Amino acid sequence: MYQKLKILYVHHFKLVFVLNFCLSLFFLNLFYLKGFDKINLYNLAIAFKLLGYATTVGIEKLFFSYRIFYYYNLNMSYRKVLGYFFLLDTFLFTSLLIFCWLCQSFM
Amino acid sequence: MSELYVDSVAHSFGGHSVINNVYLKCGVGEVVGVLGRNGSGKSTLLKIIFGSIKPNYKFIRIDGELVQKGYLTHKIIYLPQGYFLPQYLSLELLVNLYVNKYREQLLAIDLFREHLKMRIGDLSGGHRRLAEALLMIYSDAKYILLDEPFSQLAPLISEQLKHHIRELLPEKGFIVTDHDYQQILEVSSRVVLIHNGCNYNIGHTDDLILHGYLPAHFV
Repeated sequence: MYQKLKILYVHHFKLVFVLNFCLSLFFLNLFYLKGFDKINLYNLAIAFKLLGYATTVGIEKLFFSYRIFYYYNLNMSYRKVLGYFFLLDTFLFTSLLIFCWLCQSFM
Repeated sequence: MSELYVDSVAHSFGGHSVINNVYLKCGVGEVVGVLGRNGSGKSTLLKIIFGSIKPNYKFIRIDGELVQKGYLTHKIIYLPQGYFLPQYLSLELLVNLYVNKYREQLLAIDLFREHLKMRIGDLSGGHRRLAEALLMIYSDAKYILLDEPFSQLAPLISEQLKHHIRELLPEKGFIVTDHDYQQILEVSSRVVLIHNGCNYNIGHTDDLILHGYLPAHFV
């Protein structure tokens, strides 16, 4: 299943991955400049990340009729495909956030 | 028990009942042909079995297990009427995605051997349709739903497709619909007609006339 997901993401999710990753980088930069103790910044980051995911769902909906049987025949539901994608993005963002916080703490 | 069992399927579009109390059974080693007029609900029935349409009511059992969404069971695969694979993907990648168990057999077929590195969108219409059908037939799924697989195919390619269906028949069950009723009668071990939302078993061409699928002068 993971091999199939990898192929799907590499071929069909490049644009939305870049969009979400740029958003992550923007907020990482903000955290780095303003500090990691601003609660409002966390709220803003969560709100924008959710907006990013909603945009991703919207973009995928555009291709829904073209790709529905392509995904379903791979035994993949949209929930699974998008769910793992969001999980991966959240994991990446959180990891980078912790990494930046560690870097700033030890510098 | 190796069997796909569908019972009491009912579905309506906008208050208009399309399928009402349809019953279908398909075992391994069987090709069930489904005939019906335009809009009779053949494709809808296949999509309900596959799980991409949620009907008003259904009872589906695969190998003795009650199923809600067929596509999540890894046992059903569905070839829709139109092209469904992204045109920019190569045949090689699609083979890796869909075919495991029967990969060697599939790669021995001329179409795949000669065009393996090509993108599926670069194939001719008939070859693209054949490639999609073969990817489904040689996939790991046990029950193959083919929605109008013979449309867009030249007679010679249709024969090839029927040959491949027969080749994998001992290990798989097929449900096939098409408007080319002669192809269906030829390839199927059992034929079912969907008419007025219900299904009727067809034993002879005369039955198709009796149920108003074929005009009387066709015999």
